[in-house]
Amino acid sequence: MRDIPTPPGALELAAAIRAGEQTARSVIEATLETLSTKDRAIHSVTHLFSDEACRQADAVDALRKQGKTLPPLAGVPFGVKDLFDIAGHVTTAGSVVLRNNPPAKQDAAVVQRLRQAGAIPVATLNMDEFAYGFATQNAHYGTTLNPHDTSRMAGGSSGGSAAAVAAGFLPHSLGSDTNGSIRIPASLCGVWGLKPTFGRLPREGAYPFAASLDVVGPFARNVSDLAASFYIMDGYDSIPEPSGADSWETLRIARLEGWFADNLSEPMARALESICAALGVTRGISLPEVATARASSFLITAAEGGNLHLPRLKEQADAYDPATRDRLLAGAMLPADTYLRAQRFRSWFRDQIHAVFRNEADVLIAPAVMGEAPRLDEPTVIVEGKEVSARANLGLFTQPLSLPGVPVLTVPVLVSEGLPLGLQLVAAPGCEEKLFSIACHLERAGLAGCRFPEMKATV
Amino acid sequence: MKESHPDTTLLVQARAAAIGLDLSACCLPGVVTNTDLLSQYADLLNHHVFSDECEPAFEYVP
Repeated sequence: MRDIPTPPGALELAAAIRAGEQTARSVIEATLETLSTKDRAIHSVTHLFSDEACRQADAVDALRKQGKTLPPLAGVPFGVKDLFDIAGHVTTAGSVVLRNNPPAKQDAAVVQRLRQAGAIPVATLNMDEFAYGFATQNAHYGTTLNPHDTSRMAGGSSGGSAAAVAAGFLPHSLGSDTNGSIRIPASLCGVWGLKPTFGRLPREGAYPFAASLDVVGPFARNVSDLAASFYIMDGYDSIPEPSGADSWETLRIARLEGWFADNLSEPMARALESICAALGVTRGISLPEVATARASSFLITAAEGGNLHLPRLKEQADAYDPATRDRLLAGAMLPADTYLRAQRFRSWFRDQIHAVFRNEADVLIAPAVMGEAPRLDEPTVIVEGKEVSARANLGLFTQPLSLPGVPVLTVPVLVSEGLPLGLQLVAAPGCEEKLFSIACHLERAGLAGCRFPEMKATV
Repeated sequence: MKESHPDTTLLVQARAAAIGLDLSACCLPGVVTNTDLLSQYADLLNHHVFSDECEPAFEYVP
């Protein structure tokens, strides 16, 4: 597939609007046109907010005409996973079960913050039903396809959010991550994605899945946009300058070994080697009991998701996608002993990884998935030499790192010519700036970034 | 994935009854399969020995 020039990023668009080179209205209209006409190739969009978006764009243009200072993302379009509240619209969370709910009275907290910064929500984006999956194969709203190869998975559950950015339809978008739902689609679609520290960004107005693990976070085409979106959602009025103390050269970087070194495709193994070599990483660290960490994350998710949905499942189980329904029902019936053991293991495992960050490393590197996006007609991955279900196993490397609540940034590597591959950069809680520092270096060095295939459109 | 233990169906039906859940026949095979999968994960946890002081992570401690 032939590469085409990179579409403008969020900050680039904001600068063009501030300088009067483009109006917000023209940017939003072009984005809506792109989403209306080109998205049918990948099915990333579930709903467009055309009228509201145009009204907000006109308000931005009016402010500029009055000579007012525009906020940092004024006029920049973004999309949200279909589980974020948008005032005046029903939040469906990728299901038909909630479609008779009343419309949201206000935006989700992070959407409010982006809107206050001038950004304009233009669309909701496809997801696995109730975020329970890694494939964005939705029985009600269709399957989102990978823009780099539409015969392949986009990943999930925030697949629409990753695919729309990868396709160049939107400069940034929002997703949520419980077991890997930002990191897996970011990796398979080849975009930047951030799972922030658990609890750092407000979740109000984001439809829940598993309260112990849910976080919300951004996707973007470049690191500056990713950081801008994150800091604005974190409550900053402007985008902070990177601190010299967190310059990548001063950071202790180590590679995760053991569990995270097995089951890699050849291109992924090569990509990991190349990035570690470029960062001068010589040290490897093995975390203890990673299989149990993954199991705990899986069990906590099943139990909390099942418990959340049990009252509705008793009344209208048939309205759920059968695959989601059966997972939720099994989770709802997990014994309390199993759930509490998983939560006790979460405490133990968190202590282990915190000790690693205290004593041994500032940032850890690991693969995000085993390799390239699986084919939709052959949805399998290889684990321990066997072909197993991709839907059940794409979280092999993300689920264990969900459990301790640490921030993880997904890096789209550019060291191979094939389909996108993503790595995880992992830091101690609250240390997102360290991740941005390394990501920035990799981007500037041309080792990481987004590639845009021919089907993609510019805004 | 290991095969469903024949007793899993009975186990699932008993658990459903305990929480007042009327499982329809069409759900049962899928729920049994998922219950088997969750049981495999739970087995891993059963091998971990916890100190009495290791509390469930009800609150997030960064």
